[in-house]
Amino acid sequence: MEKKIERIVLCIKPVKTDLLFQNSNADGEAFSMNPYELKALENLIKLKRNGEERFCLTCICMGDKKAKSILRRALSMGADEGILISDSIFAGSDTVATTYILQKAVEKLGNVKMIVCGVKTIDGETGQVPLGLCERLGFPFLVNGNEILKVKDTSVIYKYRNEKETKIMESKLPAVMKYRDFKMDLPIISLAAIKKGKKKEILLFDSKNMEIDPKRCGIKGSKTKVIEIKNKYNKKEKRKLEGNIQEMVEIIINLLGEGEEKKEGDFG
Amino acid sequence: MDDNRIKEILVVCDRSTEINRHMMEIIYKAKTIAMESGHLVSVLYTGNKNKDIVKGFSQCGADILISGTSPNKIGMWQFSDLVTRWIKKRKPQLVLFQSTEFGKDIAAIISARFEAGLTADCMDIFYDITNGFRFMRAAICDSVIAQIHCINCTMNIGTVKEGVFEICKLDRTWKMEMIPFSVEEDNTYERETCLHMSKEEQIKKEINMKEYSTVFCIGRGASSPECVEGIFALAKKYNACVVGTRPVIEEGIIEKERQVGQSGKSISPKLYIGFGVFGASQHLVGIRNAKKIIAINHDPKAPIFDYADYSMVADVKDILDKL
Repeated sequence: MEKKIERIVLCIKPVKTDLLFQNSNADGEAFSMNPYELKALENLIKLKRNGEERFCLTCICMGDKKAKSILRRALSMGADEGILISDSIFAGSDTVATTYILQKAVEKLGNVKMIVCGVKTIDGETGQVPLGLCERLGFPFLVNGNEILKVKDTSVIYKYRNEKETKIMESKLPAVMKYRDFKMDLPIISLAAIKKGKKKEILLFDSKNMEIDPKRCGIKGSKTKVIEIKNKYNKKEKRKLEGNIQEMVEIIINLLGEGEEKKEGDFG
Repeated sequence: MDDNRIKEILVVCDRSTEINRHMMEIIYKAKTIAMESGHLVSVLYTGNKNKDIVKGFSQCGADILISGTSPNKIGMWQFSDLVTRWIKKRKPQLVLFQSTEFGKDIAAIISARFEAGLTADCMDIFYDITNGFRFMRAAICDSVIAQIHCINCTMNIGTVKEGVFEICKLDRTWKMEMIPFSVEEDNTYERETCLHMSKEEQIKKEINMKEYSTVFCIGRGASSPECVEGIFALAKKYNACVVGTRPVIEEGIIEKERQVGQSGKSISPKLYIGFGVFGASQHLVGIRNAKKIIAINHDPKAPIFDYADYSMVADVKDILDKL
């Protein structure tokens, strides 16, 4: 047997498709990849295609059976392994419980040199999972990246960009990366690729084969509980105007006038 | 632990050299809760501490100031260890962090380390004896508010964004205890190295959208040169900030810095006027906190009309001509 190739694990959060594409239900599936992870997936696949990089790209997804379609897509796009982390006792996990479950999954996989997570999910928006996972696994490096440029044996080279500067950084491994770029479009996958992807197996990790302590996951293991959800936006009293341009212009001028009285600033 | 231990709320300040507004807002909020719950407010701060700064902390309600120096040399893990040390020693029931990138990272690490419930970006925090602490936060692109309660743990953690709470200086000076601590430089923590750095080419005058109470947004329906010119002229007249939706930014009509929405900035002006903005959800996310929204679009079915206070079905050009 040849030397084991080290894994890069991409944690993909399934998010409701409606949240991403409000008007079109283009792909007809209830769940889609969180856009940050989609971009990271494309980035990593591209690196693999270029050929120099040797790593096994493992996508893990926590959710119910419906999340399988996301892994199927990731495999079709070029990921090597797909792991569905699913168990009825995982339902209702908050970030403390989720990071515990993901830690167990990563430990079960073994041979992991880097974990990539989107900087946040577009539904929960907490951004806590990568940090918690890094803490639990005891990985020494936690980095922020906008693009992964090169994966070496013991380090990763990546681009970090903010409003003021772009940096090319190198971090030693093992590391957890918060991936900061995202992509809103659906990837186009050829039929041939879909066929190829279908041949790859999706493994199921559950509480038993991961040796999960049931007290530490799901609602039991969670430290936060959502008591109530309220709609924030009360319907506004709307005014709809059609046709009469003059009336519209007057309303705008009046409203602009109100703002002006209160503030006298310099002109930008 | 012993039952008569001191009940404490810990506020952890970022590694800044000075006290800032954001810290004061959180400390004052902590004090407001503490006055009802009987907690003490302790503040962990690593910046400079001259007389004015120390006074600033006591004025917004800190009972204990845990202060150290050399803020810039502390890395993320080291800072987390520092916070850990204090949590182990004082066992606070509530720990609040600033919702900055740094503060959120530390909060998430501490949450996993102590198996403590963490609510990110709280909009409000309540306390009552039977239920303990309760947190409110917005979720799903700011469209709903969730009330969150910590369970199965003795410590609650929250992060708070800037500007969520108000500052009120307390009229009387509190007796504030100062506890100094030393931060040893520790080189066992390795960091990533920078191989190459390039500054963004044009460092233009930064556009601080938050300073403007009026914002004009250019959408695809108003991207013709005449419209853009007209909108900028009008913005100058009324001291408004000009922003754009993603398609307009991508076509290079205005700068990336002016992008508003999910991939750009979120704004909360008193008045927002959308010129030819269709209202993709990704854009609407960024303007949901605007007080008043006027939308002008020729398409009566444009989704932005569902969120607007004034929906004007008209051609942008016709309106601009008369303004």
